[in-house]
Amino acid sequence: MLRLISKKLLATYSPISPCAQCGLVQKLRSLSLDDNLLKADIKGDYKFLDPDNHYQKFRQVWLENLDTTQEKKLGIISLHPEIFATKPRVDIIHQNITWQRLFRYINYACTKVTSEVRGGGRKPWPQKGMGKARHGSIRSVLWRKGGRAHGPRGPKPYFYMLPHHIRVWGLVSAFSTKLAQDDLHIVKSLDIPTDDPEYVTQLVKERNWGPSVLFIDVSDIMPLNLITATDSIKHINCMPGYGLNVHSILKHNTLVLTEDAASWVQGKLLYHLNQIKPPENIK
Amino acid sequence: MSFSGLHGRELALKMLQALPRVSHANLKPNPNFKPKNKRGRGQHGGDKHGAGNKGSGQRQNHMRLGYETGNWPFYLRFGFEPYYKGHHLKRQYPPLTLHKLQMLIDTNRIDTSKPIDLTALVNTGVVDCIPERKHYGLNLTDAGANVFKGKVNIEVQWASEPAIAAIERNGGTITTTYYDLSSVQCAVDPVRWFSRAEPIPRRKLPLADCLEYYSNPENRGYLADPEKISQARLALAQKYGYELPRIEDDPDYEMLIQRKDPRQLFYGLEPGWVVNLKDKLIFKPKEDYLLEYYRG
Amino acid sequence: MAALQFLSRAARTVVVGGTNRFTALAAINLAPKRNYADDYKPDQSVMYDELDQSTLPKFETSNDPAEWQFVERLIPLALVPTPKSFTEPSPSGWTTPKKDALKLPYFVSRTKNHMQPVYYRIKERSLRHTTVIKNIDGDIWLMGEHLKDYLKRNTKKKDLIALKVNEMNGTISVRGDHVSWVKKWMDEKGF
Repeated sequence: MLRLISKKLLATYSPISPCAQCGLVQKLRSLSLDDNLLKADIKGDYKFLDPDNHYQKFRQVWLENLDTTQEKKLGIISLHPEIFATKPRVDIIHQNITWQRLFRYINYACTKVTSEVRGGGRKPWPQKGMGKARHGSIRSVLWRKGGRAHGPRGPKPYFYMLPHHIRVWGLVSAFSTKLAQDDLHIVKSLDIPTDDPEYVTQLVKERNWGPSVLFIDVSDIMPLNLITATDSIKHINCMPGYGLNVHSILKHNTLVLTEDAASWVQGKLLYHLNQIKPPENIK
Repeated sequence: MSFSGLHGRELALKMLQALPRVSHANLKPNPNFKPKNKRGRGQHGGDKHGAGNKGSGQRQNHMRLGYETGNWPFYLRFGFEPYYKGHHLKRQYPPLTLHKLQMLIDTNRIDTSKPIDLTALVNTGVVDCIPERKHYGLNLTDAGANVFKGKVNIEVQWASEPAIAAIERNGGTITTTYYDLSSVQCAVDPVRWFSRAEPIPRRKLPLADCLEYYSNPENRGYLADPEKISQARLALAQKYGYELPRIEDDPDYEMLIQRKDPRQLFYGLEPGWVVNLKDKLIFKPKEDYLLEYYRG
Repeated sequence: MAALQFLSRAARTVVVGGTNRFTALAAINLAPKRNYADDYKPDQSVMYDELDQSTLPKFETSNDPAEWQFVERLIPLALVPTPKSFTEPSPSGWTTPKKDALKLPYFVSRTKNHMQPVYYRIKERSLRHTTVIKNIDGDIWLMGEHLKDYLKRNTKKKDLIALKVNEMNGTISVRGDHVSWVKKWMDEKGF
């Protein structure tokens, strides 16, 4: 990977090694679900971190800036192929999006059954002798204004949990798709010079980023200028790392991660892809 | 856009460069992902909707499974089929082959520099012992005895003679111990046990039918006389035709000799202690009646 | 009780008309409201720091690192550990993947547990049995040819190697039980 870069480039930029970037060991201590579940002495090199152990090349991405509307290349970042260059499983992306839409959906439609419709307790006319069809109640299913036979009955939740590994693969496929389609950008930091929304729209237009952009940092406390600028623009949003989800990644045309967010995301997903057993409550 | 020489994953990622942006509008599930609507509709699926003609099938009055339209059903004719009677009450010792143990050692999943017990084996994530299914521990079997090369201090709940021979042949030690179900439950998932603020349980003595097994030196039982065990080690070496290594001369002698008290569940921790994982503290009882119970 | 029920029913009724509206409003105001705050009884949930130590059995707290190291031994590892490397197959038959294998036109990567991804599948209630190789990257068609040649040379089924290449999934399925031969071939290649 680094071998491919010309000497001229090397002179201008200082590429950062993927292991140092990933900072997996440090990240693991901070990100773990439960610190007690993580052994204090995680020693040794993990094979999934070693670039020489992979058939797929680590993906090289420009490190860009946000402090000017014009794009400036500040360096090169290596992205882990297990997260940013996997098989783009669009069917798993679809499963994730469907799950996100449905798992909190409740259908409140509820129709009345014969017994619930007002009235209809009395037999409308005698059984025999009228020359009319025999009926027991005016609110039976056969009648107009009667009950509904197989209608929706009460609040129906559509909750289900997608298996843990499918949700991880969904995120990984989404990131791979974004990078493959040139919709992923890594920036040094989210600091911008003004809080004017015009600055952000101008930046997005100049760099030919999609109309909708999603800025991602690790924490939910972000630079005030960016927050204020993007607040009034509906299609340009900021999100902390823990809010990353397949729906939002695909909803926004362009994904902009900070350097720290890229490391954090890689660390977290590599942990989930290589853990011995996921905890029972998130299966 | 040249796709020549690319296959599979690389080809897919290259194709994406040329294809429109993947978005909510152009995603769909794989073929046959969604199950077909069971009730047939339309010209070909309608009319009787696959329910046939008359009978219980069409009238949604299905007969229960096994019903034979009134005559004495087969499944009720025979009142006594005790094939699995009491099966759910019996103790089970799921097998752990020596081959699997060797695999765990080779792939660095288990630490042979420390004594291996049920907790260490289950913590690898590869070996299962489920107390809900009446698993009272693990049974070390001899499949793979010919390839086993590890020097370990292992503690299992049941072991076959060739397995014991294979362990001792390589300079290791093996002990068979009895774990009652609540001890198994604690041993198999200690983190969960501690997070419930439960004290480490005191292991119970073996049941009447297995007391003899655990007192027998030939099974390397934990209640057997250590002198008789060393005699049995020698006898086994002679039986299987290998030279018994002197563990006294082994640099790992201290580790190989480590044994638990019959009432102890974990190495280095006493029963009755409450472990606070969050604050990294251990609470030890000081009351006489508690000390008498846990230590007596 | 009955009066209260009547009042609450009246409160829920939608009334149109002067005098009825007044009684309905009065009913709403007069009906006793449930005080949900009474359900929460803070004195029944006691926090650890507020516990009266004198009522508890006597205990001592220890944070001895010598004892804590035994507790740490009980906590399972989170990530799959990296295996040792062997020049030859290990005693259990596990082989270390070779670095040279990365230069081949195709590659079969190990699973997260560092095992070779070769599986034996039997179709339910059928005699169809298949050997499946997963995680294949690179020129999968070439690998299929090579694997077919190898199996033809080594197995008894000289002309009956039915092989299916699934380029999209990166898998190859071979009819029959050839797990050992496939793993041997993989060991030779260094996968």
